[in-house]
Amino acid sequence: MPDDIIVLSGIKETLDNLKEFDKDAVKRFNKVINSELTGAERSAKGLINEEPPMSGWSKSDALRPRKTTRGGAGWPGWNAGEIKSKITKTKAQGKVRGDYTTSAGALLNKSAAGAIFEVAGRVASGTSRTTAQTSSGQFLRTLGNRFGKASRVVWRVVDKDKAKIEANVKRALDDAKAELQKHLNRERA
Amino acid sequence: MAVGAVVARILTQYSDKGSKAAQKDIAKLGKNIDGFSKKATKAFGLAAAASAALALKIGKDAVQAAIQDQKSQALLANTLRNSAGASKEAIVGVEDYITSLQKQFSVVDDELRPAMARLVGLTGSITAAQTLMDTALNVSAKSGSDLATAVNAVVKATSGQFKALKTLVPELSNTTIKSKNVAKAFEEVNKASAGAAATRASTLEYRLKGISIAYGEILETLGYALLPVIEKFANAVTTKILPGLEAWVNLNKDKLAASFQVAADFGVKLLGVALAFGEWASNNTLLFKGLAILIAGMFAVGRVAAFITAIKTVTSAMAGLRTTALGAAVASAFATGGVSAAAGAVAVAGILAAVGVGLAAPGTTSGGTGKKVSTGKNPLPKLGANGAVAAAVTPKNFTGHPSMNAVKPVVTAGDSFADYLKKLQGTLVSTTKATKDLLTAKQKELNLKLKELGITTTEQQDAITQMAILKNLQKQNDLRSSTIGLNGLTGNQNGSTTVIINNAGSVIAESDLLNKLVDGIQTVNRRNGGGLFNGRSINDVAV
Repeated sequence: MPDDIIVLSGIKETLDNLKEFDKDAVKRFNKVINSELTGAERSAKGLINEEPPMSGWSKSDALRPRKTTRGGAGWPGWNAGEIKSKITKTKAQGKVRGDYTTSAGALLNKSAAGAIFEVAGRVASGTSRTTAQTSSGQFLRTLGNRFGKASRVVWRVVDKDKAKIEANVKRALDDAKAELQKHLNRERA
Repeated sequence: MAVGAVVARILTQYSDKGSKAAQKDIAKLGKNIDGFSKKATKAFGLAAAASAALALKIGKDAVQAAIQDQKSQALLANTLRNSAGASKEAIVGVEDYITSLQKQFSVVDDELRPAMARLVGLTGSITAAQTLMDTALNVSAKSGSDLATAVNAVVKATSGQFKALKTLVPELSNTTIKSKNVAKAFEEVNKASAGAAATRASTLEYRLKGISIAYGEILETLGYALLPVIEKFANAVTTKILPGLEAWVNLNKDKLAASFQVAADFGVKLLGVALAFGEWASNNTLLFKGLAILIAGMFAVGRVAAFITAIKTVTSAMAGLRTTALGAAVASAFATGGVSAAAGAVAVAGILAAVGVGLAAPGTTSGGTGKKVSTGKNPLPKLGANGAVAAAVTPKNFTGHPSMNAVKPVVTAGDSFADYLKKLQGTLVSTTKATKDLLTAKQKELNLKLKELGITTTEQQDAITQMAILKNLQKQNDLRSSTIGLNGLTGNQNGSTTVIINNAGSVIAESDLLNKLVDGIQTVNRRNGGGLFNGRSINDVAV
């Protein structure tokens, strides 16, 4: 994940005002964002194989799930279609953080199997990777060997393309602001 | 946004939602502060007197802090000049460095300056000292020890003694210690303790300490503003008051010594009186018992004029003694202790002790008698020298007084206390006029000297104070000139309980007095609807 992030400001205000002068300009801006997010979504979906990551990972949910697994829901089956369909883009604002920022565009990985595949083996800060010779330890090691470290789907795409997407959206926003300013100047004149 | 999903944010935008909440909170806080300030204003109004006292305390603390700070700065500057040959600018630079360390690491300058002085003394270089100071600060923070301990360890380490430093910084390797490699040792220590002082300064404890230090700095600043005033005052005392006082004491030291000698002689005589009185009291228990019953009866009934007259008689005798007694302790003991032989004996012992130590503490025995010297308007006598002024002035009024030689009543075997007082009163009456004249002349002479010293005398006070003093003197004069005098109280050594009081020429026997009492009590009881004593006799009225 890149260290530097671009904080966009005034998206809503710009679009709301620009809508009164030039709806096409608003559309152009939305098209840029949607295009970038769609591309990222497509890239994320492309990381999902039709076949399960491991041979023992069933394609369907467990018929008689263990009570201790996922609160009794059992291990989720690898349904590539469902996983892909639940990888989506969103422009909804999430929770406002302490630094007064929120999301203007994000990728979601909402399926259980997709989430496991995404984050399995992620090492929390301050802890070390497991070396346990158990089935779970073996699962994590195999997953890591085949697909790399955790952050295997949406986060991998974001890490890879975030800077490019941000730059494109920022440029589009600057254009929109400039367009709005032009209209405001004309209005004032 | 979906709950439970993995969310990877791509685009980030600014939201004023949080800032609006923050602004709201700030506005609310502002209202609270306004409310608090209103309440505080009221509270301040109510506690204005307390605030004034606090202001005085702050002023005192400020001056003390500034004095300490000035001393600390002067010592460091001296070390810098002597050890490092530092210029004025360099000294200022070091002070700035100390101030920055204080703010940065929340360590008070009073700790930093001695540490800096020691390191400069060791290295002879301000730069090297600053480097070692940084190390010492980090070591101090890392080990939790005070700065002086850390500096001590650092200083020892520079001469190859690493034990103290090893205790504070265990990371210092034994290999380095054995090799006696000072540079490497400091390298290891710096590596192990780097940033410790800054980390410690960011803790809540040290941030609070930083606030405390900042308050101390404010006090010092205030104190520096007050210092010139204090210095001016001290100069005035040193150059004007004390020399004048010293000259006056030198001029009159022989007379002062003679006065105390007279006081000591008189104290010895009073001791004899006290002992004689104790013997007389033990030989006249019946008379005492009668007096006790009489006194109890008076207080049980209320205020009776005859009793007050009797008390006046005793008071008059005591006033005569008080005038004659040179030491304030003797006078106050008699005035407050009445006929207490024990108090008199203690007072006599006190004056003897004071004289016996070579006039070392005259102010403690005669300070209260300087009523002619007013200190109400002039603050200077409130200094430490005041006691000396009062002590020196008062006895002088009596120096060489002829009445002192005259007051030598002889206690003969078989004399009662009343007999002694009678003799004494006779002597006093004959010398009163001479005493007064001499006192007036001496007082005028003294007032002139006091005026030179800037001390206001009673003659220079306002009209109200003078009127109060005049009334007080008249009251005392009335007591002293009462015709009752010592003749009013006589005792019979045969064990008789007869008490004869001569009040303005009339003779009242004990029986008359008691009859008058009983009449008074009956009158009161009749008015209250009761009988005589309500079934009790006068003997039932116990003390």
